[in-house]
Amino acid sequence: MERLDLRKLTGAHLKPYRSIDDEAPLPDEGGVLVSLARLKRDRAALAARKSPYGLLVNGDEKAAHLAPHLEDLAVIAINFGKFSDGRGFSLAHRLREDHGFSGEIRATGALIADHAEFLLRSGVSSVELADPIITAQFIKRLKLYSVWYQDAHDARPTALELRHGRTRKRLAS
Amino acid sequence: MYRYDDYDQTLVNQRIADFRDAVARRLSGHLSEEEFKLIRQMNGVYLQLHAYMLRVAIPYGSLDSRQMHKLAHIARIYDKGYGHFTTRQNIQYNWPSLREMPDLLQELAAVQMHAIQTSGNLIRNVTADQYAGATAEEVDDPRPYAELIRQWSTLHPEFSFLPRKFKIAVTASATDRTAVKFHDIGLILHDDPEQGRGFEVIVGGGMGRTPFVGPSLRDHLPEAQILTYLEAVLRTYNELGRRDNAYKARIKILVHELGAEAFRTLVEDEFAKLLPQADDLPQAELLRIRERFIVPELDALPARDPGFDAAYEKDEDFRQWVKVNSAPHKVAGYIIANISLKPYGGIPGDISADQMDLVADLAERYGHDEIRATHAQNLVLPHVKLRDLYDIWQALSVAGLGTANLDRASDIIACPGLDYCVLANARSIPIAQEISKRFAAKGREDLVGELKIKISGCINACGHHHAGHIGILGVDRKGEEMYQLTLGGSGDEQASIGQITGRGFDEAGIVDAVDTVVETYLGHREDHETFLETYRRLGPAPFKEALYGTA
Ligand code: SF4
Repeated sequence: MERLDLRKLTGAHLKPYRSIDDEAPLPDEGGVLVSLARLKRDRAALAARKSPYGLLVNGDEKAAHLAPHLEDLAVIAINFGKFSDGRGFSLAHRLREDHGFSGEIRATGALIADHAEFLLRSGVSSVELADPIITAQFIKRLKLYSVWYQDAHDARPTALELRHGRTRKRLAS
Repeated sequence: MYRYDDYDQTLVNQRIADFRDAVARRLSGHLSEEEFKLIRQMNGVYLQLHAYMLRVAIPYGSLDSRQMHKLAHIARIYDKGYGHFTTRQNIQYNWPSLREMPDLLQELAAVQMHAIQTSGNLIRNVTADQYAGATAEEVDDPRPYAELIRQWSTLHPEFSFLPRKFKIAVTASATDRTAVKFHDIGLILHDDPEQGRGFEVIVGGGMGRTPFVGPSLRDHLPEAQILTYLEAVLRTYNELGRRDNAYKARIKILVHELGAEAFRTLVEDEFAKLLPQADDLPQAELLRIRERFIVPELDALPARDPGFDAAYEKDEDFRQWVKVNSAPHKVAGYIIANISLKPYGGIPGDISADQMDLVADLAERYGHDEIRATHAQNLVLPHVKLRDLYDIWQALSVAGLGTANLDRASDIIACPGLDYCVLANARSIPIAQEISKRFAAKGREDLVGELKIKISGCINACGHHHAGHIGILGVDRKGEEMYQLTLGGSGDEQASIGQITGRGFDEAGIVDAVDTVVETYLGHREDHETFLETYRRLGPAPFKEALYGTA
């Protein structure tokens, strides 16, 4: 995974994607997000456009359902329905770990600044937040932490690696 | 005792800075109460009936005198001069103000303590046997494993927004003092002659509205694979646990609804996928943690001490306390001393700042600087010399900490109940106090022997009534506080769930009912049978008859 760049993670630097309803026509230009049903139906039309496209799924979606359709996706946006619902974290983890998805995973929906570390470390690489104040808090919060215990998906070294002077298998491979 | 290194300390400090920021955002209106609730709970702050409450973690129940002195200081400065030990080896403060919480947490951090994950829907403070490192019964000290799990579960990226709270206990003894089978995950360490060191893994036990003795998912899990297995269980639960109904959200319901076999298959499939990728860093880390544990250097002493023998001979009260409140130590000349926080008629688990300071002083002077908190809301000095025991007991007695009632009728576990808790149907503490007074009469408890009474103020069962030999549950009947009685529960290695006797009792009636049950036991017991043994032999019939007559 590429190095973490806090500026690109959220706020004004995010690549814009428009979420398109299943029945709405595809716009001529610009990145779009569609549902899994639409992706299956309109794959050719999506691929024929010049702009990138991706999936918009809910946090409770099963990674295995998405697995056959990951090729050519620029982004998978995971919608967190409630800020206390942690299923999206496991979905992000599985997309990276079980299915080797290396594109952008974007978190959207009911997110607050306090999700920041958890999202990044579960494999999310960009975060769409409701307003600029939350965005500022989010970035501030990410700068607060420098120690993590668990083996996770960001490339920052964990306390265990630092203590034992070595890199995890998962990253080394 | 595990000593933090810079990483541990830095993380705790950063978490406080983060929480300080969240409190500021809440006070300035940038966080809604609902959003803030999620964050404050992860940091140990809970909203009770009258005020915010802070629950401080005592990982696997171990603390030293410096930490205990700090807890006393916090009780004085931020609370009303006392603290309350809980059924999870934690301590609660009922009166600090929200504004002061970050400062309070900073004070804790100065002695390597925190309140992280003592509340909320995530992996809670890991508990372990309070006799760890002191009892000859154990395979090994379970606490390094518990510390490994503490670190792994602290701010876990994927498992911090679970359907419901998640409790893990670790024990390594044949006698279970942790209620291991009533946990979301219970780990029992063993040395298998063929397969080597590993854990039996219990998953899906619990109390609450629907109590379960957890089924065993694995007879033997090699110790090196523990974190990988936990990851498999937690991922399965995070994805499939119910989120539509808080009462059905614990892992026990998932295990029950799927069936233990189907659940095991899901976990094993996930585990098999993870295992080839699994790193051996945790195993190296376990060794490092062991090295950072301060293991007391115990002296070589004769097995008997003349001073102790003389005091034991001449002082009847001391003799009684030794018989009831002490346990054998693995090293000759040493003993494990239990400090009861259940004075007759007192509030179970409550302790004043002065008492905390005394316990800390005793631990420092006589106890190799170690103190333990137990899930039965008592304290332990795990390493004391026989020859010092009389001095210790005298000091405890003067301070009101010398009650000789460990595992006796008045050693009651009670939840905060209607005196503090928003969810309560009925009061627990006053019932505990009344029952305790009833048994205070000299000799009565002796006659009855081991008896575990546990009281919960509502079906959430924080007072573990399902696991009480005698359990009491507060219910609401048309606005009136009523109490249901259960018999035959047990939280030990032969775990069982108590059965409801029949119709409930009012406040005065429940104390009489307990009395009736105890008298019935005394009338029916054979030889040296304990209450539980008699109940298991006879079943509920004679008790029901005594309580309700032959209808
Ligand atoms: S059992 Fe009920 S009343 Fe008692 S502490 Fe738990 S939630 Fe509150």
